Amino acid sequence: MSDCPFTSLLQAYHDGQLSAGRKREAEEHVSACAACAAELERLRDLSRTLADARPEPIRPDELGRLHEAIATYAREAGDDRRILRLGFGLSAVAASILIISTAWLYDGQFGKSSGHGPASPGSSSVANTGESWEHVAVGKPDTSAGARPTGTARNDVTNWMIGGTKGPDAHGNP
Amino acid sequence: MEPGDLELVRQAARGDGAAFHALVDRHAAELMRLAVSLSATRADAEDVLQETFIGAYQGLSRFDARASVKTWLKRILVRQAARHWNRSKRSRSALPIEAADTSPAPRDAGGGGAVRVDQRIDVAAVVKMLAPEHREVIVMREFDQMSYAEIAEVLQIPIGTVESRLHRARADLRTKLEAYTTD
Repeated sequence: MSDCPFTSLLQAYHDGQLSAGRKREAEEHVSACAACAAELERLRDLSRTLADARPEPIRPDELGRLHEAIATYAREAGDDRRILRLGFGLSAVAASILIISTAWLYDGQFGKSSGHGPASPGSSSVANTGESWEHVAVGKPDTSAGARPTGTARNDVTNWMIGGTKGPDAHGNP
Repeated sequence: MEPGDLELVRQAARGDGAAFHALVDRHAAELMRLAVSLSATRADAEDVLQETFIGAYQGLSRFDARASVKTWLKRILVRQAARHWNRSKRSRSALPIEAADTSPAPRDAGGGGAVRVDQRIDVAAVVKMLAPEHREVIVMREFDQMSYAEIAEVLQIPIGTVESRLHRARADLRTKLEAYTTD
């Protein structure tokens, strides 16, 4: 490799990457410098050798397979998106049912049920007395305002737990 | 008038499959050449090319046009090729350098150190013996005639780094080629 300070520009000159002004300078220098002229010839020789090794272009069958692979991917991606949208839809419906059911159960268990007709799930005749479930659970009479007298605390709890069976009436009678 | 690359990408992003296939037809040849140069075998190159275009398809909506479509595709391809190369590295045996006989190739009568390579020597295989970062710049410059700026944009490195890698790649290539032609 030459010690000439211009050799660092030879590659860019060979690759056509110099500005017009620098290119003129390089051409003048190479015509006067044997070392740089030899290095430039080595660069050109290497490029000629590599040009012979340029890969052959894409074949028709390769291009066909490429298009097919893309079409298959696009189709499967489309199917996946449809399945995903269906999944999201079903999940939303299931979640809605769950929320509504929970709200209904909560309302039936602890809400303002009238007590007429057969007991509905979660309701009990104990709840109909206006007595709080906490008092029923521990077997203590509810002495708060509005509470009505009930029957035996244990029976009340049992009735409350099994839900819906006939329990004491508003006056505490079985 | 034919739509430009950017318009095809936009159409494809809106779900126009034909637009994406048109993009493939436009760039497949050049990308395949690059893939072959950066892959161990042509079959690997075909896989790399498919992965490149599928990757591009997945990223259509995210393409921001800061680089050209061609640069964007080449960037994806170089990354896929590197990934593929590393994956197959362990299972890959030494690349074949075919030579019908061991007699030295004739030297250029003009002297000056010029190297003539026996036609039976697979120059492409020698290129594949280069370090990946050297192989990338040399094939983009010599096979695709890309400018330093274009190479820098694809590889996302400074132009100065492109120049220094090219310089080292050429020196290394010359050494390796000479090794097959000297006594």
